[in-house]
Amino acid sequence: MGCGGFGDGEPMRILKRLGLLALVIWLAASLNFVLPRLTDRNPIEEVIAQAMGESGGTMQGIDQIVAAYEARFGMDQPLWKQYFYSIWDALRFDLGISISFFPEKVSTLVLEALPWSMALLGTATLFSFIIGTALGAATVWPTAPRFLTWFVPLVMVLAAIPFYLIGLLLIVIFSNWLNWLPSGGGYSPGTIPGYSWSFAWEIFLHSLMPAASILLASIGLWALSMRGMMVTVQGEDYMVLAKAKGLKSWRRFWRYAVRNAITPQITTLVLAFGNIVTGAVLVERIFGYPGLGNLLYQAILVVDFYLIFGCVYLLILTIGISLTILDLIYPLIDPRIRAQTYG
Amino acid sequence: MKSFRLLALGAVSTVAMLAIVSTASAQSIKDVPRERTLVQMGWSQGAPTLKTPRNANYYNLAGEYRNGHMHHFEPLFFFNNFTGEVIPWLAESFEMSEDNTSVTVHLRDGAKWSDGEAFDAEDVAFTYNMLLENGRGTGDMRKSVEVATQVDSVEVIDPLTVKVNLAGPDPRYPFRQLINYFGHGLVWVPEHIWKDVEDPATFTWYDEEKGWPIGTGAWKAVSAAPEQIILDRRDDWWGAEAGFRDLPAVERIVSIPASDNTRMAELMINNEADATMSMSSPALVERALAQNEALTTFTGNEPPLGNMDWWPHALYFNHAIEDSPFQDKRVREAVRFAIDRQQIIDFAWDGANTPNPWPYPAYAPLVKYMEASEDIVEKHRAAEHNLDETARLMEEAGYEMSDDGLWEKEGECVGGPIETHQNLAGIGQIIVQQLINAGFCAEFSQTPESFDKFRNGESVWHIFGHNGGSVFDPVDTLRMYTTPNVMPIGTSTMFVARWSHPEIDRLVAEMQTIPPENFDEILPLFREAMDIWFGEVVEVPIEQAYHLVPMNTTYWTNWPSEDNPYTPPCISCFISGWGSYLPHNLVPAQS
Repeated sequence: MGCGGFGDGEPMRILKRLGLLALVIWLAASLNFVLPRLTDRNPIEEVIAQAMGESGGTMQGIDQIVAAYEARFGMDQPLWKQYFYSIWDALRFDLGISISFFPEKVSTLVLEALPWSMALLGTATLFSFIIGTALGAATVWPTAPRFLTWFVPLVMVLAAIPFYLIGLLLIVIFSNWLNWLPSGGGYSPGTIPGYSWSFAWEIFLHSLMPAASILLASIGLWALSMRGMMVTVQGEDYMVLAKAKGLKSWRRFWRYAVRNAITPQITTLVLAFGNIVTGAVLVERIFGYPGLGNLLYQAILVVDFYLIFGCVYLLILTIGISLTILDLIYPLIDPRIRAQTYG
Repeated sequence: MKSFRLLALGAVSTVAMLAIVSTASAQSIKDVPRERTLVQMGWSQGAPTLKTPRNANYYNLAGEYRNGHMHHFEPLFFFNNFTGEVIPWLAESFEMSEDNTSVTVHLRDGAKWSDGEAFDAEDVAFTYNMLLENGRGTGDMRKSVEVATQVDSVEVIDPLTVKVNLAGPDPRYPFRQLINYFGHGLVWVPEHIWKDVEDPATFTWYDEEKGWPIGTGAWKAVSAAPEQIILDRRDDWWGAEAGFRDLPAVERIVSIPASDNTRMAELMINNEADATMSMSSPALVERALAQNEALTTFTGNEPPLGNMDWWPHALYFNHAIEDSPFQDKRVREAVRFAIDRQQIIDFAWDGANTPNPWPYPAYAPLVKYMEASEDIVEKHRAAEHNLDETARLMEEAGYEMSDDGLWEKEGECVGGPIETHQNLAGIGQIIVQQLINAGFCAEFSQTPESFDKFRNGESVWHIFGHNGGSVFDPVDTLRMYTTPNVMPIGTSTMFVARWSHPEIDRLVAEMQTIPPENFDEILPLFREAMDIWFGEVVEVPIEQAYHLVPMNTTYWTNWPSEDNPYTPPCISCFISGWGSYLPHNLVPAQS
C-alpha cells in the first residue's frame, strides 16, 4: 500500500460499508414505520375530531369522514401493503402527505424547518465541538496558561445542567431582566424576511440564546472527554520521542497530541449531528424556534405517521450516511486504523 | 484544518440563511409603521409555528384559518354574545318562514370580492351546493355533513336574495350556519374561482402569484410563512366604497404563533404583541399586567381578568362504561357532594371565577332560565358541598371506609385516573385532592393522550368543558344529552358524558320547534329537562370558563371590555372567524 493511498481491498470495503448502510437504513425505516402504528390512536380521527369539535358541531358523519380520509392516505389497505408502499416511497425520497398539515407535502414541511435547525444547531454543535475540544486539550497541556484550568470546574458544572434549564436561565437574565436579547422566535414579529444585513442580524440575535444554551451545556462534555484522551496520549512513546527530538511545544500539542486524541471526538461529533433533527426539541420549544424539533413534536402530538416518518427518516439518513462517510475516511484521519485495516 | 472548519461553518450558516429567506417570502412588501400594525397571536396549538400558513381553505379539515387567514373573509352576520345582538355584515337581514322550514337572506348591495367581482347570491348558493354535494358524498370537508343534514336545497331569488330550504323545521338554523360566532357559521367562497376547482377538499386556496385567496375582507395576505402571516389593509375594501363602514385604522395585521403561555406574556410585556390567545394562568396574566402598565384585560386589572366563554367546566362521568361504579347514581351524587367549588376557585383562580352548578354559561339570555329554575338546583342540592352526605350515600350504596381512608366494596375502591383537558390542569389537581380527601381513589392524569382518551370514551371520569353548548337559549346544551349525540366507546366525540334520556330526547325535540326568543314557551320544557338532568346527576359542573386575553394599549385602544363588550377579545380563538370583527373597531393610540 502506498502512503496516502488505498489498498487492493478498498473497493470491497467500500461496497461492504455501503451494503451495511442500506441495511441500517432499511431496518431503521421499518422500525420507523412500525413504532408509531403501535399506538391505538388514529391520526385521522385526531385531526377530524379536532376540526369538528372546535366548530361546535354535533359530530355528525365522523365515521364517514374518517373512512374517506383513510382511503386518501391508503390507510384502508392491509398493513403489509402500507409497509411496502412506505419503504418504496422512502427509497424514492417521496415522504408523502402530512395528515395534520393536509394537503402539505412532508418534504415541504421538513425542508422549511430544516434551515432553522441547521443554522441553530449546526453552528452551535460545531462551535461547542471546537471550543470544548480545544479547551479540554489545553487544560492538561503543561505549557498552557494556568487560567485555563479554572474553566474545568465551571464547564463540569454546566455539563451537569440540562441545556433547557440553561435556556430558561438565559431568558430570565438576558431577556426579562436586562432586556438585551429577544426571548424567542426566529425573528421579531413584523420583520420582513429578505436578503439584507438587518434580517441577518435579526436571525443572529434570535439564535444567540438558544445557541448559547446548547454551547454552555455541551462544551463541558467535549472538554472532559478530550481532556481524558489527552492525558492518555501524553504518556505515549511518540510524545516522548517528539519531545526528545526537540520539537516546539505547539507543534507537539497540535500535530502529536491533539491529532491522536481527537479521533473519538470526531465520531461523537457525527453522532451529535443527529441532534440537529431531534435533540433540540426542548430548546426549540423553550425559545419558540421554528425548527425540525418543533415539527417532530407537533407530529408526535397527533401521531401523524407520515410526518413522524419524514422527520425520523431524515435523522436516519443523516446519521447513517455521516457514519459511513466517517468510516470510509477514518483511515485518512488516523494512520493507525489504516495500518490495522490493511496490515 | 482550522480554515476548513470555519469555511464549513460559514457555508452551513449561509445556506441556512438563504433557505430561510427563500421559504419566508416571495414578494416585496411595503413598510408600515408599528403604530399602524396590529400584532395578534394566531392559533398554533402551543407550537412556535403557525399551522398550515399556506392553506386558506376553511373547509379543508387540516386547514387552520385562525392562523390569520380568517381576516380575508367575512360572514353574513356577526353576533354579540354579551348583548344578544346580531350584527349584519355581508347580509342586511334574514327572515324565517312561518313554518320554520326555510330562511331567506337579503345580501348587502355593494359587497365585493378583493378581485373586484360582486359578492352575490350565486356565491352563497355555490358554497351551499358545494357543501351539500360533499356532505352527501365523501363528507371530507369541514361542516359539509352538518350542512347536508340540516339543509335540503338553496335557491337564488335574485342577485341579493337567497333562500335556504331546510331539511326540517328549525327556528335556530340562522344561528347554526348563517351567523358567525364561537364555532358556528359558514365561510363563503367565490363561485367564479371555485367552480373550476377539481377537489375542494384538498384545495389550499393560497397562491401569492394568483392573488389567492380572494376574500371580501378588509385585509389581504402579502406573506405567509410558519413564523408569521402578514396581511395588509386593502384600501379598496368594498365596505368603505359602499359607505357601510370606514376603512379600518389597522393598516397591517401580523399574525404570529401564540406558542405557550410564557412566550405570550413575554411578547406582551415587551410590547412586541398587541393581543394574545387565551392564556390559562390568571397568575401569569396578573404578573404581565404588573410589568407593563399598558396591558389590560376585558375586566381591566380586576378579577377575573377575562371574559366568560361558552364552555363551563365540569367533572364528567363516562356513562357508557357498563361496569363502572358510577353507574350507581348514589355514587355519582356522593362525588357531587364531595366537590367544594369555592375552594377550587380560591386555589386555582385566586378567587377570580364563579362557582357554577349548571352546565350553562351565565350569558344574559341564559341567566333568566337559570334564575327561574333555582328551585330545581336547591331541590337536588346540586350546589352543596357536604362530606357527611358523601359518607351517607356511599354507605347506602354498600361501600365501607377502609383503613386507608378509601370507600371500598369487595376490595375495590372507587375512582382511577381523571383524564383532564390540558387547559384545566390547574383545577384538575384540586378536584382530585378533594376527592381523595372524601375517600375516592382519584388520580390526576394530564398527558398528551388525555384528550383522546375521554373523547374516545376510554376514561371513566374526566374534566372538560361544554364545547358546542348554549349561548342564547338552553337547547344546544341539552342536545348534548340526546340519543343521536351519544357516541359508542371508540368513536370520538366532544359530548363526553355519553348519556341520554328518552324524556330529554322528547323535550329537546319539542323545544327545537319553538323559536329561541319564546322564553315563556321554552321555560317549562327546560325546567322539566333540568329536573331530570340534576336528578340523574349526569355530571358535576364546577365553574364558569373565562378567556384570559391581555390586550396592549400602547399602539391600539378601544379594545373590548366589560364597559364596551362589542365582541370577545380573543381574535383567533374561534373557528367561525368571529375575531375578524375586532380589528375593525380598534383606534390608534398614537397619532
